Amino acid sequence: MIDAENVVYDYPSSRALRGVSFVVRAGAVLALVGPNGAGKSTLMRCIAALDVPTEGAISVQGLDTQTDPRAVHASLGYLPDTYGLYDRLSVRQCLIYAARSRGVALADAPAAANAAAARVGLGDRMESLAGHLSRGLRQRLGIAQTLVHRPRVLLLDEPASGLDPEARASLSELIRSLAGDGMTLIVSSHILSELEDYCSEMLMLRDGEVVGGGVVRLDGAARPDAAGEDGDAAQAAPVPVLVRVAFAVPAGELIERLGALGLNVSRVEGEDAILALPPDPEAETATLGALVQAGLPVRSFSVVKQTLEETYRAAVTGQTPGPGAPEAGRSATAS
Amino acid sequence: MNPELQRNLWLDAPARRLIGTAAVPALIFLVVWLVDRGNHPHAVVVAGGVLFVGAALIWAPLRARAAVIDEVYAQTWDFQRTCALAPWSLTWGKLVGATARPWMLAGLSLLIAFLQLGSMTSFGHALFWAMVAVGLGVLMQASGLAIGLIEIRKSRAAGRAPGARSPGLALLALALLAGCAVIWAHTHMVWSADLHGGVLTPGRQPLVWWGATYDPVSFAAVSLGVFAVCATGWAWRLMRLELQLRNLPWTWVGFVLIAALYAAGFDKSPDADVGVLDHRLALAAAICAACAYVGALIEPADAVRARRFVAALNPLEGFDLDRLIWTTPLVAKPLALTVILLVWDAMIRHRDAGAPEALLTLATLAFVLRDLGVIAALRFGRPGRGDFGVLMRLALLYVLGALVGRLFGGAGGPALFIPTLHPTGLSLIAGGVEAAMAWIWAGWRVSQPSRTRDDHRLEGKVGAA
Repeated sequence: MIDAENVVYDYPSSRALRGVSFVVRAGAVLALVGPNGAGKSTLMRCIAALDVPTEGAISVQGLDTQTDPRAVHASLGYLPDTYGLYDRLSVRQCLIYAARSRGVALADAPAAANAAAARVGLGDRMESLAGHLSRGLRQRLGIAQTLVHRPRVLLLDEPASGLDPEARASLSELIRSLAGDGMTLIVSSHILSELEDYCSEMLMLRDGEVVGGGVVRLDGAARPDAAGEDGDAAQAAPVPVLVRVAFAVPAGELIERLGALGLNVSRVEGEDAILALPPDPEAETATLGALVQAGLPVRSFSVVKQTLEETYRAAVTGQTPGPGAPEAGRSATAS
Repeated sequence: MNPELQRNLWLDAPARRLIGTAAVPALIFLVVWLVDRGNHPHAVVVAGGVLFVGAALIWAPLRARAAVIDEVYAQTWDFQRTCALAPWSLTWGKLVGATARPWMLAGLSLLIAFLQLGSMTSFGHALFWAMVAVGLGVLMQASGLAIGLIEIRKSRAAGRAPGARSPGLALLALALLAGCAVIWAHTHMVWSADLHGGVLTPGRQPLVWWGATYDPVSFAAVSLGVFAVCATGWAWRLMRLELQLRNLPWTWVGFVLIAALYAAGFDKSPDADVGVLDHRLALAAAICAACAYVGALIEPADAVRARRFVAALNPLEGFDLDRLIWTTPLVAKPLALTVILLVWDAMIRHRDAGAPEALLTLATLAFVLRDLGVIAALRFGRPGRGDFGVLMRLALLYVLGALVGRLFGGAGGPALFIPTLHPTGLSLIAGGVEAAMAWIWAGWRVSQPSRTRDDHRLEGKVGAA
């Protein structure tokens, strides 16, 4: 869906992007993370065909951003971090203009505007002036303007910046809903907890470079198309899956017994052991079977959900991440 | 309806405001009639003319510029840049929509002035002047939009927001006033045409252009129409660049060539002591040089692009023709034409007038090269340096240089800083050395990591602390 190859972007005073390569598959919600100044917004602008990379190429839905920028503009929705609205226009006028200026036919524009407004929960405020909306509602209107022409790709640069907790929760819900419709999203932020709820993949930037080997699946599975900086997919470092195993009785020699089964024990906490498994669902099944077969009294077996921050740190440092809360829907209990 | 036009009308020209705007000329003409009582038939024409100038030549260009600059301030410009509208739709939507109220005022004023002038002279005559007025308005308005787009591009390269004031519009207004003054002076002094009460009497000496004879005022009016079309095309091309489309590089060369041919077409005065070819070459070179100066000033000081251009030229890095074509600065093509024309002119002058005249022509070329080097060095040195500041420094270089040269070098001293005939060849040597120094300076500035205005401000704060 989005393919970046060796993208370099120079500002007069510095290099903002240094050979960035990655692939975003269709339907993914990619978290673009990194500290301030990492190059996230620059990369977003290059993907949106608003800035031209000094070197390298980016394609969106097969359209090259340099040779066919207008087609790229038409194919995506982009909400910059410093988005603006026409404060003296009503929500309806803003959305009708957005629809018309993005190629929606005159006859279809009112319906498209109504649909976009309903999508972001502004259906009852169509006659309000944009300048009279709260920050959270303005953010929603901004997003509605970007999706009024029903693009397949949406780029949101720091969308939750400055929003209160309620507005953030509502934004998360909206993004999950858009992702549920099969839209491909790239959402950038330097606050990782913002992205936790809805992102399925993560790309980490630091000083204009991809760190962590490329795109990381947040369920722990390594992406087959996740290319490293040198474009070599094999270089992408798989992030291990952590599994918390609770045993029915304390086992003094648990580490030795687990080690004897060839398992990688991250640590033992009382009756629980944290195992680091390869990012493969079959490895989880095989491990559970091996534990039961070895006669270990397994009480529960659950994948530990890693926070985005833990995954980020793990990918950056190459260390095994620490455990967090068990991931819902992916736990198993041995009987 | 064009969505951009509709949005502009929603924002700037709802019916209530349009009616309010239309009331202004009605009130003013009412006052004029009450005061004058029809004693001076020209009073209505003059009032209409003044209103038209204020609305169409001052207000409308400012609104056209604001049509894009305000988008940057409101942070909606990127949203517009990613729209699906064609560049031309965006251009005319802004040109018409953002200036609806000024044109409402200007149109009504022009209509009343036209009717009055027509009743005094003839409606054909009044129509001619109305067309001239509209052409002038379109020229200024399209230039206002183009200048706004140039300011956006320059400020983006400088890492700052566009300024509230527009030196570009001020320069344009000055150029227009100067042009009007030249035409007026020629009309009265050279072509001896007479303009009284809106009636133009034919001059004793018509205008000769490429050997054909024309009525000077009609010629100026047609030229104005062509300039208005060019200005609209200019705004459209800049809009294309903002929408990330590439413009064919040959169009700019074509424009410069046509402008040079246009200027070269004005036949010399019969009593002028120069050859025909010499005269035409000098005029064409002057236009090409003027285009080079304009190109040097209006293009964003983009050091990254300049470095890519230099790299494309470097055979050691592999001569890259495609990159060379797309990264060539605006100044390069008219400068190359200027060099060709002035060298050709120098050869003609050497044959017709001798070596000193030829050396003076070459010295002029050397000083043009120096000026362009100085402009590049100043603009790449500090992003966002105002055009007025650059031009003032250049003017000071000439004035102070001539004064210092005179003070310390005697009669020949000024030749070090301005192209002069005496002492023979000194201006050429001095200009050549200064041009080389200026371009080395500019090259060094381009190669250095440049800083944005914010970097300079931060440095100042740290220094102050």
